[in-house]
Amino acid sequence: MTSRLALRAATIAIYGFLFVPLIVVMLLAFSASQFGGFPIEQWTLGWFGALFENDTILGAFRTSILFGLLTALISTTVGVLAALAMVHYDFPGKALVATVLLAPLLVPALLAGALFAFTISFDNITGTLFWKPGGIETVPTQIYAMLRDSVSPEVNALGTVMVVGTILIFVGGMSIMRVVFRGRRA
Amino acid sequence: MKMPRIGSGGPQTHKWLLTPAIVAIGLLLILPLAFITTLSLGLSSLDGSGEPGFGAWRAVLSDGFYGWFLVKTLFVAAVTTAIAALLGFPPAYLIATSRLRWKGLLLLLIILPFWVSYIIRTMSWINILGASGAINESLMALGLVSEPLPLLFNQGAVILGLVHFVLPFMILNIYVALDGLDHSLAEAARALGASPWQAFRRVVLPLSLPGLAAGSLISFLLAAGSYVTPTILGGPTDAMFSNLIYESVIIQLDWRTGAVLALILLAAFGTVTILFGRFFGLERIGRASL
Repeated sequence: MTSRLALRAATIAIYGFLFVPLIVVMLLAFSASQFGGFPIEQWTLGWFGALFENDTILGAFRTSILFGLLTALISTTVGVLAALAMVHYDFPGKALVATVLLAPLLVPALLAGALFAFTISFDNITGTLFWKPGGIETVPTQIYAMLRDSVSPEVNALGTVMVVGTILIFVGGMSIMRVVFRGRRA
Repeated sequence: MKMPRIGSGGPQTHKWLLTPAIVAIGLLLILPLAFITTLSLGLSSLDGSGEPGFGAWRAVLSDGFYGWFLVKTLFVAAVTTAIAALLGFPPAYLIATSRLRWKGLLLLLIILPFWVSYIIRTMSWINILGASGAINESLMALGLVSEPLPLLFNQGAVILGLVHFVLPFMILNIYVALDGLDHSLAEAARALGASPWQAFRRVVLPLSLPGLAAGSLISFLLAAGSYVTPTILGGPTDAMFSNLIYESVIIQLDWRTGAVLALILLAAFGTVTILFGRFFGLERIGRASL
């Protein structure tokens, strides 16, 4: 099956296109050279250390997490109420009882929705750049500001933390949901 | 015995649950839109200046500069969408026709970029294309070039970054349309004498059309509305229409012109969406993207 082989080769190349840049970011975060670049001659963890001593970046993280949590809380509340209304459109009465009874059933979906809202908010830059008052930075706008000159190893380290962090949050969230779901089926 | 009427009481008792969502949509979508409209007409302003009228609209519409920018932006978005469709098809088809175990992994890898920050995905290309980036360093180490090639800060880099950004949307949408498609369909077409191209053109492509349309619409709108990618990967002349809005509102504090520009871009997006709906049926697109 040559066409199938060609399809596989094309798919691998396209996946490579999607992921190689991110892998490069993570590799360069460990490069000792101030200017990044290849080949990487010396490896270091120093940029990560610098990150955790950088008050601006830590502040940006705090802002992002706060905004993310608020967004998740508000949008989940609004979303759940709307979803209940839509699902129960043909159901006679007893809204409050149904809400209370249904609440535990909603937990996995709720968690997924909240997680979704959190990451979307955490990552938002197009809106944030317009809305944020001067002096307040979220992680994406902070990275954006740091990019004005060039990509420093510190930005790559920050990027690595973000990538690993979001993936951990999602994998963690999904594992929790899987456990919850499995418990229900048993 | 009186039969309970289905729906009796339901709409009334549950209506209040929708209120927050309707209020949220009203406050976050309708109200700002109304505000922007009055702003553009000078009926409201932030500093009390300006007189009502179509002055800002006339100024923008009579200036060829803005029209040219709009055309350029839509063109960049169209090129991005076309490339993403071409690149998105092979993985989508492979995922849709592969066995269950591989399918999960391949799908997970396509969803993964959604979790990775947009700004990081965009700036990652600087490490690849920059003067001391992976490509230039490799080429120089191999002695193929003596000076770094100017790969970054041009239109091509912007389109590359946008394709990288929209590709997962495209792949997922095509995949959804093709999911469950029996790989033997194309094989049957081949066995009946169709060339590989004919089998693709006559069997696979028509089946994937709703997903392709949905993916293309999403990709086009995302690309046409972007303004961070051009500032990171583009040069000074590679700005897009949204950059003009940002420039007006944030840099020049000319909210009125910014409002006019935003409404023009919104109208352009609406037109594109309607055209897409005409050609492919918006309902089919909507169903595919779900």
